[in-house]
Amino acid sequence: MSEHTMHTTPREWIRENIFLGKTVGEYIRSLITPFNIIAGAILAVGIPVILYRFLFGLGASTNLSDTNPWGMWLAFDMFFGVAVATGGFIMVVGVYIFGRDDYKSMVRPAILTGFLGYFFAIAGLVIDLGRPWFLPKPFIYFGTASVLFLVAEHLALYLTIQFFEFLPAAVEWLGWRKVRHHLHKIHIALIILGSVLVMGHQSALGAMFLIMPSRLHPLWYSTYIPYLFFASCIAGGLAMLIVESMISHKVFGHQVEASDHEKIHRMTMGLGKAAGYTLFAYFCLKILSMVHGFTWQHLWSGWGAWLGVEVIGFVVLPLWMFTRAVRTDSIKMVRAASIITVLGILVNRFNVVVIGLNWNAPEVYIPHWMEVMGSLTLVTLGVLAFRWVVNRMPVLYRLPEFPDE
Amino acid sequence: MGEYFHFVDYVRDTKILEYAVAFLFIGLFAIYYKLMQAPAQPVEAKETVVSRAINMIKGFLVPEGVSYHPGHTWAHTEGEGLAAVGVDDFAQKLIGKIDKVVLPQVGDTVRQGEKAWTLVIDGKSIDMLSPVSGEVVEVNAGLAESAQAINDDPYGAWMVKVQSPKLSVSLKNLLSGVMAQKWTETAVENLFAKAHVEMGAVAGDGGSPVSGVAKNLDPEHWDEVAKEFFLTE
Repeated sequence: MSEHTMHTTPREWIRENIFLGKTVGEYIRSLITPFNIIAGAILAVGIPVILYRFLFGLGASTNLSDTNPWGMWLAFDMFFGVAVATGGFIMVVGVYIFGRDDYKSMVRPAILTGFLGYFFAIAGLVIDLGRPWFLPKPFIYFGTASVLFLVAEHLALYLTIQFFEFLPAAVEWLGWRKVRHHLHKIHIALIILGSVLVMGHQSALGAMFLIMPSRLHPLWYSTYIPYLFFASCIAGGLAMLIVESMISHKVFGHQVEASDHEKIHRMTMGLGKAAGYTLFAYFCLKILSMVHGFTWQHLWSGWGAWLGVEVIGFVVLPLWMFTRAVRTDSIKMVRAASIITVLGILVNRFNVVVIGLNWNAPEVYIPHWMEVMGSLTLVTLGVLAFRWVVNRMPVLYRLPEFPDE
Repeated sequence: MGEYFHFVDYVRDTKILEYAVAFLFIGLFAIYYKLMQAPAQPVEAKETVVSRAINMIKGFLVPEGVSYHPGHTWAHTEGEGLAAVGVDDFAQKLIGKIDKVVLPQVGDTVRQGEKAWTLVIDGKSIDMLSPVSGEVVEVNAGLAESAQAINDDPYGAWMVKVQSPKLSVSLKNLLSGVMAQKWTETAVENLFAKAHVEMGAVAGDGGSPVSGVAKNLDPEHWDEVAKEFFLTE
């Protein structure tokens, strides 16, 4: 592309690479699709809602209170969003550290999903916290005794690392050969640093609850909660990879190389197998944590029944489905199990962050419509950003002029 | 409301129970691991040998139940989307004793009508085309030690096994049954036509082809002849 770029004027380059070879008028007309109309409608309501929150505060825009300070924006955007965004970490470690080159074609879409997932999780956090100009504070006042400090530093660092991990695709799109070459040199260092960070902050998100033993319901509280969070985020990341690749291959099918279409079946089955093992490990840890805390004494209650729904419906059921799917080579069942697993992460994080945390609070928290709208807006922006990048940069395919070095 | 839990970390009280649960799960995991390795209905590890309903066409084996690519390679369905592929009898007799084969690796993608493997004979390399498209899932490691097996039993010595979600599409482009027999007949006629020109008269019925026909035909440029038949010139 670089030779190509040299011979084109900036105007032509913009037309080719930003407007996909269309004139501005044609491009705008091509944007009028049912999907875009729905997305536009969500943004038309959602962006003013976010502005409203910044102007008038949490009290006006949410149902949060002193008794229920943690709501949907933390449970959904932060805890759920980050947990299912581990796909980038899983693929990078699998391919570059464990040498599974057969999964290479999934690395870039996974890193992009991970980067956007973290970015919008942090955006959600900023909306929840407010006063975004205080965001750099953890880097000025080192609160090293706090788990929150670790979470803040890790998220910032890991977001930066994911940006650099994805940068080669952007640089290839721009045709910058030299930069691509230099980026390649720091690649493996970034990957190792990133992997350490993921293991740290995913478990630290759970470790935040260690200081609330008498607040979080005992069926969810455990001294093992960091491990539970880490195990579940791996299962969630694997499941999200399967769901994401299923959608990508449908929506962006024309971009995917034929050989990758053939590989998708085997890659999906491989990820499904890994998800099965991970759910098995998670289930063991969950039982172990309950034994450790003697918490099974609380099982015969309404809360126990609700935990049963979470564990049987969203752990044991997909575990059985993954197993069955691997044994019968059924890609449909792997995908169905993945969707249930992703929903399971959602249920679990809500149970810990909102429901279990406020189980005996004097008032019941139900999200305000503006909170729902705010989260929906971030998800929509994430999907639109993913599509914008995939339609332009070499994510699902590789440019022949930029082979792996 | 007002209910309140005093958290107690029962480290000592639960230790033995925890160890028991942990060991139980490690044991269960071993079982689970085995379960995940084996398919529910074990596919018979049957030898890839094609039905021996032998059809001998002018001295060349053209068994039923195999699909042939015009480049003299064959494919045989082994299971859902899985095909074993190899070299046909015509090819094997044409080039004679094979010294070495260079096979693709597991995970590689092969495409119908594109180069799949290379045969090495007397220092000359001859490419052959893949009869199907898909991903290589198994390579016949035995051939690395001795490629003689291909000459001994061309329909038993498969080269690689290919997994393809659209195997049936690949197979539709191949020749089988009567079509395969007619095609072999034509190939043999072409070969004998060449032989006639270059070797003079042969036995009235064409005789029985000997191993390494091409070398007898043209000791210098026999590889060109082979490539012409294998469509890889």
